[in-house]
Amino acid sequence: MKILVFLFVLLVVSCQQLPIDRIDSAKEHGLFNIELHSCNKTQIGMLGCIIPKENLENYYLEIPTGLTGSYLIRSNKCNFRKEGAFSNKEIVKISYKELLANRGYAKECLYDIKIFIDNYPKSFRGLFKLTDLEDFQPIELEINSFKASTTAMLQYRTGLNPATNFVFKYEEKGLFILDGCGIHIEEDYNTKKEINFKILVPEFKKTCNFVVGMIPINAEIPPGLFSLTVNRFNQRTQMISKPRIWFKGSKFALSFEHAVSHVLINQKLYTFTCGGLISCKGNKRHKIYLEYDPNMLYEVRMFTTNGRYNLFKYKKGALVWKTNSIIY
Amino acid sequence: MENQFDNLLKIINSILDISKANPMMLGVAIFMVGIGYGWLQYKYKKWQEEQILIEQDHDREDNIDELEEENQRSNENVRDRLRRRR
Repeated sequence: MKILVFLFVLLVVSCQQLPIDRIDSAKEHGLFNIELHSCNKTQIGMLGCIIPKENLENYYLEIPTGLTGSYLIRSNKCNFRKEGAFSNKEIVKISYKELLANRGYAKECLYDIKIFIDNYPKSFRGLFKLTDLEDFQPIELEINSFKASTTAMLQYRTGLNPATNFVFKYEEKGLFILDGCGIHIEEDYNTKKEINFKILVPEFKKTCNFVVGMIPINAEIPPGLFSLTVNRFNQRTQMISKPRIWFKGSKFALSFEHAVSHVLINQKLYTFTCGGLISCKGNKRHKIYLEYDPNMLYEVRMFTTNGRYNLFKYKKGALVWKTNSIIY
Repeated sequence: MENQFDNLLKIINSILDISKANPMMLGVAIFMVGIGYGWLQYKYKKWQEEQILIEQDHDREDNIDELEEENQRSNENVRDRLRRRR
């Protein structure tokens, strides 16, 4: 009898594995989704910052990892390559001094970032951009409620063609120049220039970089510069959906889609397994109950083995942060 | 197909007959099956890990050469114009 019980337990335990994600991986369908922190900004997938004039050693690119694995960061034009391993909750941190050490005369550096997590068949990908403003001034960009100064990086799923234009704003009137992705535009502007989304972001191109210049007629005003990166990803992949949240007595409850294998809430890691008596392809959501603290900011990071990721932040039961650079 | 099913039934009946005569043998048989299953699981997991490493190795080959080339051209074109002012 004891042997039978032992064998049964062995069977159940040996079947444990991470949930299967039936949605296609982000990387295979062109979606950048690594969490990036730098220049006081947080974004998922792609992030752009301006190169400071001095003290480069005080500025960093930070990549929270949450799990265990390895990373690879490369820029061919700026002669940079770094790879290494990370363990649970470690933050990969690289200074601008190191990133730009061998950039030579390059005015802009693109860093391709890959994260490989142990036991995850699919990797995660990100893109970081550092732009040298030189002596030019920042141009402002508005797309509905989205606003950015000097640099922006956005991702749109294929098939999405919002009617909203890209609106570039600068002082006075003058000449507007845009170059990138096989497109060259030179037209007059009057304090602002609107460019149709479809012109800038054709469906067939995955990632496009545009450099925008605005030269005021008034020679005393320096020209303005903007660096825009737009990526198209295939709608066959998706970001992990927002957790459902509710309160149960004094507890703060969250539930996640079945495909989620790991969740990091602040510094605590939760692992969801399946197998044995629990289906790995099911639809049953995973639940977590936390002691509720109204003064605490809950940072919820979610991973699937198929290389999908998302981050949401909650405070006082309300969503206070989600990425605004991925539109899907 | 029917033959195979009949053969399986015969094997099961034989096992049950043996176990009636000697219950210890049934326990040993189950134990051996469990060991065999555990070993298969272990081999499968090892194979899966190897596939993951192959996949991740393949992922390292992506690059952004074309993007960087285009970006450099655009920067040169626009910045030169801005410096000359017209």
